Amino acid sequence: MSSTAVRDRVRTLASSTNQRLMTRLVQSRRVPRVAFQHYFIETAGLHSRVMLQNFYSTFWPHLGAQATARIDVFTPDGRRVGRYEERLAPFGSLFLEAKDLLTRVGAELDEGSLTIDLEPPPGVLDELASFPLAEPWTLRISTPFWMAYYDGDENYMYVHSIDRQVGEFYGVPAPVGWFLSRRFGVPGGSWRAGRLLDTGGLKELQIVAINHGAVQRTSTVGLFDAVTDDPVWTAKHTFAPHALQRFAVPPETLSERSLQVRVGVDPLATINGKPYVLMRYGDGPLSLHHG
Amino acid sequence: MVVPSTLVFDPRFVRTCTFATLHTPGYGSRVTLFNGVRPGETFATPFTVSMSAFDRDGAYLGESEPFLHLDPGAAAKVDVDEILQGMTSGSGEPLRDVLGIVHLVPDRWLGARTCEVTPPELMAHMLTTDDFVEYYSYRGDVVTGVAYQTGPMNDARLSSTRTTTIQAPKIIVSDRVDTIFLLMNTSTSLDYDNEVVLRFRILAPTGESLVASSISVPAFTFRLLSTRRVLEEAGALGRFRELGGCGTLFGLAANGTVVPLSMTRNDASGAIAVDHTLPPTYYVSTWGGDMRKQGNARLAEALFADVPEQVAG
Repeated sequence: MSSTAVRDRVRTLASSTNQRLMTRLVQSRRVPRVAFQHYFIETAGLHSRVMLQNFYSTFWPHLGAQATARIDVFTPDGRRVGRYEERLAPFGSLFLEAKDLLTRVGAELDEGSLTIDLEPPPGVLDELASFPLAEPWTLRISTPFWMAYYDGDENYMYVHSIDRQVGEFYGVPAPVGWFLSRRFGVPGGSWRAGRLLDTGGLKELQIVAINHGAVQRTSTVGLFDAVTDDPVWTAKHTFAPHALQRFAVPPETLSERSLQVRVGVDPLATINGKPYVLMRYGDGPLSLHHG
Repeated sequence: MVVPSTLVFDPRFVRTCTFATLHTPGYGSRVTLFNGVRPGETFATPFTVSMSAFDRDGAYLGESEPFLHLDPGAAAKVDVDEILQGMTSGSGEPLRDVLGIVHLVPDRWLGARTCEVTPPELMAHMLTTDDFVEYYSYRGDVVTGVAYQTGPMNDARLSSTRTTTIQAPKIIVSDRVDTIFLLMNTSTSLDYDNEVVLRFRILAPTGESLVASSISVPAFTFRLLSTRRVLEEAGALGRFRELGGCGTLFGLAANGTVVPLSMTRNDASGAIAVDHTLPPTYYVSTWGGDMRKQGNARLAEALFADVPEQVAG
């Protein structure tokens, strides 16, 4: 047997062992859960609000059960500074101001990030454990949510969480969580936004990049000519695990040129960790989108 | 279900981007199109791009001349208003509020009435990128938008059950802010004629139901659902504001797929927050098949048993 064949055989055995282990875990009501990491800002005239629904009610409404949201707050350099928990009623939702959240965890931050894990009611785990899933080892629960950003005139922007944080795996024993996190959070590749931005009239442009991963990563964030891909403006930055950086593109970069550009990151810190883009045309309100 | 290995398609629907224009509310539309299957990759092809438009009743208004050629890996932004200026309705009126479908036709099928395409090729073109639909205000400096995919929808060959589940904790209503749901009903053939009925509830953060109603979206149309208006009509706006002015829309369509976008708009400035919702698999990775069917049945029973599947008025 060739060395390649031996390696393939070992991989297959490991894979089938892992599948059996994960299947047993799911059938014993231990379902891996992973949290999304999202940005908040409480400066520059902007406020942030968490928006989350009890999605277990949508899928298992007959249980009529509350669910607990576990919210972790992180500094811009990626340190966790506190945890807050709140119960969501059946079909209930959470609209939590970032400033209130910061007060509750005793943190003074102008910006940062947070993760949410919505812990399932026991009945949900019973349902999942007993359901005849074709591939139980692939089951994961995640808690995507929205953040609204708004100014003092009630001009709103909002966007869904874009990537899961490579960190704590909930719902499974710690060694299993560690194992799962190893296979998760690999770096992304060179990335260009699917949106072409017109620089004419663009007065303000900020890019917020987050390292959702658990290891330090270095990326170049920038604006690139939509036709030639030549850099118009770039900044290289090393991100600690779970850290973020808000880049303000110099206004003269925008005003000196009238062309179409794309936001880009080389490489994304994680597969889907696309940045947030804050823009203002003329004297208009800010708008925000992913990538 | 077993998806056929090849599908007979109108080539104009192999790769599409569907959107609504918002002329009457005061916005022009631009779309960034990206040919995301890059040179050398499987299924890479240049596209010739044109656009069809449909009126409020879903009547087909016609197709533009090709206006763009997009090589593999290339991106381009098109101004939809400019394209619409080159098209007129049967009455000669300029086209304004329409459901638009941009057709990105692989060059090898240009001009053909039908083509045979494999599901992997369909998926390759859909999954490589979102299209970015941008709205800009006529009166000022609002430029906003959202990226989303409108792949092959409402096609029985590709999905045995065509349903929509919406859970959107994005309703914000105040004196000057309204949250509007934009619902689009599109498909893969001009013969499609299914009217999708979405039953919905607006719930307060406490889980208290404040509105139960439904909205009908005919084939190849879009509808704008103002949550402020439905709360007002239900006499529930005061209660909604009393409970914080934020809430969640839960919706279920049992007879088809609609594309839901939420738009939170400031009446004074025209600013719009816009985003799509998230499919169930974002929450529970294995959601689908029997699990989805059973879940939808439970949701229909729990939330919508007393909400008729027809729209009054």
